[in-house]
Amino acid sequence: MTSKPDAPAVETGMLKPIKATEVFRKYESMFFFVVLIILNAFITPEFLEWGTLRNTLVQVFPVMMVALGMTMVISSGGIDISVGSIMAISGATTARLYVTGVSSLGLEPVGLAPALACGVAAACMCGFLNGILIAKCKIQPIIVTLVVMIAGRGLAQIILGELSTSLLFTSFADFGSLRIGGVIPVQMLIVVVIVAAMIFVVKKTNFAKRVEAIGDNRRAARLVGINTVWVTVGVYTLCGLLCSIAGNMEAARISVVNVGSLGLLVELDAIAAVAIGGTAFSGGKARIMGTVFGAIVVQLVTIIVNMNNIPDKYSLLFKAVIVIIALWTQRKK
Amino acid sequence: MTKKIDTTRLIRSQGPLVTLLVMCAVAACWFPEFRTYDNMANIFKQVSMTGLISIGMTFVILSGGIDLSVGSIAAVASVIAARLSGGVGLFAVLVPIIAGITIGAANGVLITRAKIPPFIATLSMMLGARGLAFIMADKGGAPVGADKTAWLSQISKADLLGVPWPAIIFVLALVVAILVARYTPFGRSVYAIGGNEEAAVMMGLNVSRNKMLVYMICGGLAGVAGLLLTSRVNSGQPTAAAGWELIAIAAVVIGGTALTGGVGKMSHTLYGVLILGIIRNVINLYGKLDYWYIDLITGILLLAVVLLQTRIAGKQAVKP
Amino acid sequence: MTSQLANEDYLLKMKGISKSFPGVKALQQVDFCVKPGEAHALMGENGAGKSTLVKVLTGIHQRDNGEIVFDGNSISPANAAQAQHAGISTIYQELNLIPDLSVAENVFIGREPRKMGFIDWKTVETLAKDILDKMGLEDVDVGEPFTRQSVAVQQMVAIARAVSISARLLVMDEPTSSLSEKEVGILFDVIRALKKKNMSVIFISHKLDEVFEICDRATILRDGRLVGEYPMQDLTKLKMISLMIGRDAESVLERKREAADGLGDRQAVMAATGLSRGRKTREVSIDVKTGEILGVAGLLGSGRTELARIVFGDHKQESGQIKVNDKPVSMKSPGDAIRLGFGFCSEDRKEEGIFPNMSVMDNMTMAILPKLSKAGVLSQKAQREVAETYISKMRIATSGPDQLIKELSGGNQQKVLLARWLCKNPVLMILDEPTRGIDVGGKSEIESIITDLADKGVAILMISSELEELIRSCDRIAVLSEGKKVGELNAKEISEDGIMHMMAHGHDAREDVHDE
Repeated sequence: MTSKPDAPAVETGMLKPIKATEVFRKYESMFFFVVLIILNAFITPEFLEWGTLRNTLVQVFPVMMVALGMTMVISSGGIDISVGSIMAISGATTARLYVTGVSSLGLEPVGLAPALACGVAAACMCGFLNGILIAKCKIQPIIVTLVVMIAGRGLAQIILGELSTSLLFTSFADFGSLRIGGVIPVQMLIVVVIVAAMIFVVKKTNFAKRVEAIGDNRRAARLVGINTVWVTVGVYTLCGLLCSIAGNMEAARISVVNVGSLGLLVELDAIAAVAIGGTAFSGGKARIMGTVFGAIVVQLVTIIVNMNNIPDKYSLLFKAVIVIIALWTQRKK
Repeated sequence: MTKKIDTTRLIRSQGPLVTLLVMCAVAACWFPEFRTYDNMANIFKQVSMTGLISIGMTFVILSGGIDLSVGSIAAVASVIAARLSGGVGLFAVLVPIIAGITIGAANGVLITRAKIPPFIATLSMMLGARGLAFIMADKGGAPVGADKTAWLSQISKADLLGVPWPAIIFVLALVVAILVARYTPFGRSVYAIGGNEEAAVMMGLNVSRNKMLVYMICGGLAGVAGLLLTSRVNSGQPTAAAGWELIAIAAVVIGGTALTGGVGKMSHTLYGVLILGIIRNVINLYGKLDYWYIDLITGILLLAVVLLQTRIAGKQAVKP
Repeated sequence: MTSQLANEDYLLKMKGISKSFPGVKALQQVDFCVKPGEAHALMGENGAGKSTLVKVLTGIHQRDNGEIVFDGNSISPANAAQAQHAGISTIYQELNLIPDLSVAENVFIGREPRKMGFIDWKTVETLAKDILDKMGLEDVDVGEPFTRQSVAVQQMVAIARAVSISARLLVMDEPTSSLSEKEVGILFDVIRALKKKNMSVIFISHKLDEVFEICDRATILRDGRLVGEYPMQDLTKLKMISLMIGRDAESVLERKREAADGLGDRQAVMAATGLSRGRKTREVSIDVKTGEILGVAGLLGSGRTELARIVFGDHKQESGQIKVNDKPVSMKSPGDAIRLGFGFCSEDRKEEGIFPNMSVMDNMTMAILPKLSKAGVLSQKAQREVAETYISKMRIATSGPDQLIKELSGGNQQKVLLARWLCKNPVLMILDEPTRGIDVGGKSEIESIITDLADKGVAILMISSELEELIRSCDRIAVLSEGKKVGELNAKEISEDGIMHMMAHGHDAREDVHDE
């Protein structure tokens, strides 16, 4: 920590010079977005066709949902690397209840809506647990969510029970491939609603102000009467909720719940999206639109890799580099 | 000045050992097989890889950092070892370790030069290095090469006077690490940096260089662990060693080292490593539980110990 | 003047030092010279540039211009290690040693004696014991962790470290701020001994008495410029203050105190009895009435901040009771206290007050969000209105409600933090060092805001380490020492002597405790 000099604070009312780097920082995600679109348009065959674009979007939605939750968590000064496992737990819960039920409890398979509700509830529970351990028990977020990340997949396996790791669930998958008016995928509708809701939350609500305050200065937040424990718990629960939407959306898209792969490594994509989106990792203002574009940028990288015959395994490496660059520019500020 | 018995200190210093002894006693009563020499040797053999990583992790955590990339580094080393095993033997041993040190150095650069917080830098590296392992593994995994390097697989199968080699390597590394932590300026600097980094800078310690070293050591030991893994399973799998970071962090913390840095003993990491090893062994002997449960129990144990530590720290804060 | 003297006469010569930070000229053409074997005071208000100058000297900042000659050689330390190597050691305000390592190790870390490459712990401990013995600290167990020592011993250990690396120049930044009088005495004995050994000391302190007691010469800075260098005998306290603040010290307003009996029959807004928590707060009873300013005096570590925190619900008392308007209340968190109409300004504005990356507006309205919102949805318009009202009312110098608070000066930040509670119409304000780190002009403005508040009927509990400030503003002063309330002075009795006497009494009581 470089300490500030004891010199008088910057003169008030001074006009701040607008620097190119500042502009870049503010619109960083847009910049990457445009560059990658142009790049893709040139090097990726059929990139600009509607089918490709639609697939791109449908694929990016789960990551985007998780990244939105991550944005709030990071805004509060925390981190959540258990998001992928929470997706798996949520998907597993839905699948178990919808397909086989719980015979040991004498539970028959239930309808899609209650199954989904339980899947969502299970993910919220996980987020809630994360929040309690972090805020109430004061354990570092990275440790808590690392445990949930690694143990969570085991839990998902246990929930899925005697089912094989993969299973098809047709009527759900049908819903996943529903096109409104024959063109717009149903996921698009869900995502637009959720993004709009998140923008509203961040711009307009006390909750988001309090989250930002906690991320900026936790001690001060407590001393202005903010209930830091419950706000933090709320943030992680919200993240869990968004993970459940992501998990079930992804399951519906690929018609399979595989606890070993559902949401695997999504934490990297989500963190990359947030980093590119410009939300400070030290906590502070949540940038929802930044994250939305950040998520698309991450997906565009994946597409470049997938559609240009570059082996898929390189994308991990690329994304890690992107995270590091994005963070590095943040620290440079 | 009178020396009072300090209960919190006692718990911290003797708790892990007591837990270990109690667990041994319970396991010995429950499973007759547990008591055999072979089983003991087996436990040591099993913990040797994560144990090596735990040694490096102890340095990292003592310095106030964390390293999530160790599992991926082990995977990279493992793949490299397998791919090189067809050629000159020395390379097959040295290159994986050097690769581990290099990735550790990259962690160090990100943390000390780019000033990225350790957990996020090593998280990126955890995923990036995993990608690297996949890239180098070619198709799925690399088998250990031709018979002229059969010695590579022998490392983990042979023994010296009945003691398996991996166990010897682990214990040797631990002894060296204990000496380094206690008796070298580097070791003491690590404690100082974790205890109060700003003060360490003011005292003229070379904080950046020492932190670099810490992550390089951790990476190097993860490399050795990867090498032993290849030797054990006869192939280099890019998916291997997933979750080892959790085991290593848990072992260090269960051994009484504080996650906040600066407090802890290298020797006590052995207790943490063995406690986790015995849990794994008992689950195996019991035979009815999935391997998932090992992760679950390790995680819960880690959280419980951290909880205990924060409670202790909280109590100390109230009564200065 | 000084430049005509030959280099050899000085241990340290800093000439024409300039240093700028973005938006701030912290030092402009400052000269600073120290003779061998002298204690030299570096004086100035907050923001005068003392710390920056010291940081340039010790390698933490790099100068933009100027020259540093130390011991005849021109030096440009790039970091603390290089400065230390040259022979310049620093003992900082916040003690910069390693809490969990032993005393001996703290003295020797970084250059431990070794045997065959390994640290020789026996020699480390013997040498450390030796050095501490020579400083008169025979009963310190050098193998014990550093944190277990008293603050005074910790300070001595820091000095021992400096001595053992054969430093020629010791920089002490507010070394006495957490020491008792007796401990200060020990420290000064050590400094005198060092001076005899021809070691020089740069002494930075806000406590003028100490400066006059120990220092030989003083250099005074103001707003990043050199005011002058003076032998101590040419200065009086008053002259020094006027040089530091650049105007007469007399221009401070005195609050018209209510007659002591006039307050007597007012109702106590908050009355606490027998508050205890750990060793820092022991059986303290205190009450504040409407429109009254109750001062809390006491040395650092006397439990004054801890008391404020209990009253504000940040810490839970172990025993005792708090009554608000005669009704017993139980507070589990600051939130509970705030709902009772309490407000609190922490002594540590940066760590516990401001949200640095949020706007003035957000900082000001953080405690009244529910009031400005419907069903959790915040009205920015209402927020802005509140902010604009208070910016003009309190004359906060800012470009507008949207400016980030970290860009304001300390005094204006404090005004925003006061406004944070004023807009809530508090019944009780708890102010912990409300004027700390604020320049003189800002100080008197904040003091007048506080007295205005009291005149409007708000009860105020004010903690300050500046006795003059307490005497100027308070209607009644409670004195704390070692966690206990050792007395109370009403309007008629308030005097500097009276307070000092009570603090001193507290000291006696503390010694008794030690001997138990």
